[in-house]
Amino acid sequence: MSSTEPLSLVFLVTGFTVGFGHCIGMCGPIVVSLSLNLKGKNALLPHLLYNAGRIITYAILGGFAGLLGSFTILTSSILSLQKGVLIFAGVLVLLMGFAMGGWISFGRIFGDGDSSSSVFSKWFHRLSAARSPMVYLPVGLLLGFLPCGPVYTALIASARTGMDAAGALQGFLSGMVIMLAFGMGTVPALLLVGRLASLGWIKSRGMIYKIGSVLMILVGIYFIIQGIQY
Amino acid sequence: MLHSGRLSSTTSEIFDPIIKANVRSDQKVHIRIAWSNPDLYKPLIRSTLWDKFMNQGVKRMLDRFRIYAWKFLVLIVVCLPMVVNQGALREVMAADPSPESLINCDIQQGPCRKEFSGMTVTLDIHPKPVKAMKDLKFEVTVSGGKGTTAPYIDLGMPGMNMGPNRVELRRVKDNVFEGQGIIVRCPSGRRTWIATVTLPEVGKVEFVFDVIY
Repeated sequence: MSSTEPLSLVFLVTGFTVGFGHCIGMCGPIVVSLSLNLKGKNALLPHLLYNAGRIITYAILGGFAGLLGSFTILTSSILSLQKGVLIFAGVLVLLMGFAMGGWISFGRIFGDGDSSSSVFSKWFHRLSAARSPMVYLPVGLLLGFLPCGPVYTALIASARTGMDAAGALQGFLSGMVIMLAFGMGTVPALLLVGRLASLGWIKSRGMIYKIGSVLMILVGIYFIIQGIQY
Repeated sequence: MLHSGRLSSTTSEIFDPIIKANVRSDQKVHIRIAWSNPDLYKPLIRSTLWDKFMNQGVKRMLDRFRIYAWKFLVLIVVCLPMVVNQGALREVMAADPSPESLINCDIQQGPCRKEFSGMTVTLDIHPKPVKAMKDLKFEVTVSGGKGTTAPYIDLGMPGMNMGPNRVELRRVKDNVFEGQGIIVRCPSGRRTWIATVTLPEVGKVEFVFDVIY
């Protein structure tokens, strides 16, 4: 494991630096959506759980990359899943945008009650009205599969360490450690975005909710198109 | 409206009840004082109006400014990276050309050559077409110079940090080096990549090309 430690440090720093550029661009809209969804409630725990879910997924992917010793085998086997998650993330952001702007009537997604019986309505209502922030953990677990260039780069490193490992278990663990370090490095940027977008400290929120709604709709459409083309 | 009263130790004792009874909070107040010796009274009036101005006008203005400043900051923080990542900002800034304009190599058609420090560095990637997310063989040929230690290639995107992705090369012939690597796919759709070939103790050569997704 000693050869992995400096590499883990490299990817911890990489995660931190790409977090403030690439990750805000890719995961930022989702984090903002989650923050706005919380409507000024304490957002720290939900965001920590979302990030924990994302890191767990990264670590598992890193483990498998190390175990297989191949980046291409891993990514080709999860390609359809990633495509689906990208489209799902787009739909999630899009619907939250519409709901937050008050432009859809299938239920008060951001309100207290929802009598609609559709699957989407129930899911979103559960997400928005959940008393336990634990619901953000599975969201993070799922969205950890979002296709992302720097995540791929870290997975390549995980696969390479797996190739050099003495056995399957060591390969799995070394790959996992690299992705774990990378994921942890990305957390500060996303927590900061989540904090800024939580709006708990803004007195007049009407305007920003409207602007946020439009941005979320645009980003949601962009994600869906990217997902279809992916 | 005419009011009269005796000057007491503080002007607020005179003015506050009058203002509260007759003036709404958003109305401007003009006070005209008739006094036998105005120089005695002016500083007191000035201090009263100043307090009112500071307590209401400036405070309200600062509160509004703070709210709008925060909104603006949120929008900047959230939107700027998205804009930068899409290259939209880069395209309108002449000083920072678009990634496509940096392309100096058509790797899909064949090897790319660059002259450097009296040497010719040639890069080729196989198999063709060069696709992202595939195992690729990178071949670097260094000719015209003294014997060099094995170069290496760093793969990245122009203006975007994709993390460290290094292809280690090993010598297969006198001046030919090969290594395995992968160019990853960026979900933004951008496909212009830079392969920076580093010749230890000599320098670096950049090849910018498009890959196929």
